[in-house]
Amino acid sequence: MDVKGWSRFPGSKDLSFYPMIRRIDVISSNSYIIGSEDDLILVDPGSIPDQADTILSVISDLPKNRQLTGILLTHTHMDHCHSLVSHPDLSSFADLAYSHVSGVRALKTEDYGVTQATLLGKTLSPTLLGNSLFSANQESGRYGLPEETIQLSGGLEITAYHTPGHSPDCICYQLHDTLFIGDTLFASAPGIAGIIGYSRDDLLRSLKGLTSLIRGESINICFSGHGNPIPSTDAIRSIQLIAKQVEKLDGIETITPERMKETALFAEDLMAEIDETLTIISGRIAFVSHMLEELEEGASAGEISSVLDGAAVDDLLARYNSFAEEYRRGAHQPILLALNAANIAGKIEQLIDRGGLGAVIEPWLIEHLDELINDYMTLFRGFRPVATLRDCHPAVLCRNIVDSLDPRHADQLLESASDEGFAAALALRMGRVQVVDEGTVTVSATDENTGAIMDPVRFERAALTLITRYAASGADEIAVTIKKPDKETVQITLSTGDIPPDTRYLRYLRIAFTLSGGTVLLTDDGIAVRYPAGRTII
Amino acid sequence: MEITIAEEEGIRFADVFGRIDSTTAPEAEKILRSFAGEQEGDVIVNCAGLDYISSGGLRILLVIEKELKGEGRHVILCGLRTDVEKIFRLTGFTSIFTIEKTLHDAIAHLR
Repeated sequence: MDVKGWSRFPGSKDLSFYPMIRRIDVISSNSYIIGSEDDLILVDPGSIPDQADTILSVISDLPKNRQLTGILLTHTHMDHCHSLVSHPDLSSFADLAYSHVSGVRALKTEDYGVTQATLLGKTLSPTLLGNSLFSANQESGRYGLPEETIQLSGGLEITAYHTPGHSPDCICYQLHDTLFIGDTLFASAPGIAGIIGYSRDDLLRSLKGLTSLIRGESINICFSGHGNPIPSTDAIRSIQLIAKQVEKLDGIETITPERMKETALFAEDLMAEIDETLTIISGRIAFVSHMLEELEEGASAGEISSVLDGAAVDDLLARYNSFAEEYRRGAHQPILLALNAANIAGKIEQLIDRGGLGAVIEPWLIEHLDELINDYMTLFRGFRPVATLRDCHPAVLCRNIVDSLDPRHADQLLESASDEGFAAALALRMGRVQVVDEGTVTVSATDENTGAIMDPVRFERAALTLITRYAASGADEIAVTIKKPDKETVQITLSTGDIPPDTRYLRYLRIAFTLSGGTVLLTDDGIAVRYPAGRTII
Repeated sequence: MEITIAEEEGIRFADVFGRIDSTTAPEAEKILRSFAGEQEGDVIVNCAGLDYISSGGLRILLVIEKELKGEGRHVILCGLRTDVEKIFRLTGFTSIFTIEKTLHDAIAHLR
């Protein structure tokens, strides 16, 4: 927590200010203490006991035994106000708190949904806040937002603006030319947009009103619920950008605790697959670079080893794995794992130089990695990954997949390479590591002309992943069979022989084949995927 | 991650346990290099207790193999679990290292 001590409140000679700014997370908000001659107010107490202790200690250190005269809640999400519910000392000040009437109700009735208590793993107890705002006035004011003046006991006046959207009880508070904007700037963020109480239409109205308010009141600086203060010009730019993002978020799913658990499970399975895929890619780069060095192609070896910052990728994966291990031991809520995975996946995505990797890695492996990251981010943002279904010819598709496993296809690159391009062609050839021996995979179809409705690209990547991983695990007979159990269904079975299935890996494969449009059945020795029958293709 | 130096049938070998990732790779490199420095001839690394290896872990094995190769020596890996061996095969590292199924096979290879 960044605590710089007391300073002058922006734009005022008479007010003092004690901001407590935390790094951005969903654990706890920033807190701000503002003092006038006769008032002492706290904006958002946060949720961490240490933070509440600091607040109380700062107040007790003030001369003349000063006491709080008001607590302003920007909303009643638990990261902003759990200390008011649970801290043994701070909770005794609940009668001084101001909140939107719906927030007062949520804390009184222990609403685990609207307060995000379930999502954040917090326990509620009935808490009675002293002051309900907007209990009568819902008329829009000067800026299209309902507004209400708070008159504190020491005479300080603060204007409250109702800005629902992120939560029904969101309020922004204005003091002179400063605005406390709560979570406004995070309302469209993945994993935040769509939480219980989120309203796209309300948010768009609030964002529009806030832009007018910041301009109309000549606001100089905005203090956010998380992160650093923002000059008003930057705040307006951010709000306009958020409004554009929110407009696109039509159809987003509500983030319930159940969906967050599902997202966390999806994160675990996909991150494990991202980890393995990146290890393969990074390992192959090291392998090719080593082989080129052996061939005294030192310059080419150096170029190849620089296409991926393997140490940075490794470091990110180690950080994720360490967090996931803590999560499995029960130390974190699902939302934190989901956010951590999104953070790491986003950083990995930025480290991937597709063009550079293409100089050594098979295209399908790079596409597979892209697909994994995209699918996770899609689900995390509140949408469902989609399959592009079309009428396909499974027998031809499966035979093409098996043919593509033979790295000798890349030999023609060597044959046609010029003297100057030979090292590059060699790197490309060596990057195609032979994992599956000739004859390991067989394809048979009861009816060669059967058609199926499926996403062929997703199926191809899932099948290539399954075949290569099982072959590398020692499977020497992998059978792909295509049959039509009934008129409406085509079943593709991938049998992996004696290699025992790994539970985590099967969970990933189930996701991958389901996203290709199929229904997945686990068999004793592999996986069967059923697709709707398509046209017979001759 | 833990690496101990053990002895079987009069042959010393490095016994690796746990995970070699970016956090543990520097320590693993230090111990294995020190062990290789004490040894003459090829160096056995028993991976029967190795649960996970990241690309950083692969790289440190490769670095040590390269150093030994300059002296006409090699790393002999043995006891790889299915998941770890899978990574070696998928990355092409099986063609760089001598890999034996068990510790006894590695010792027999050394003799």
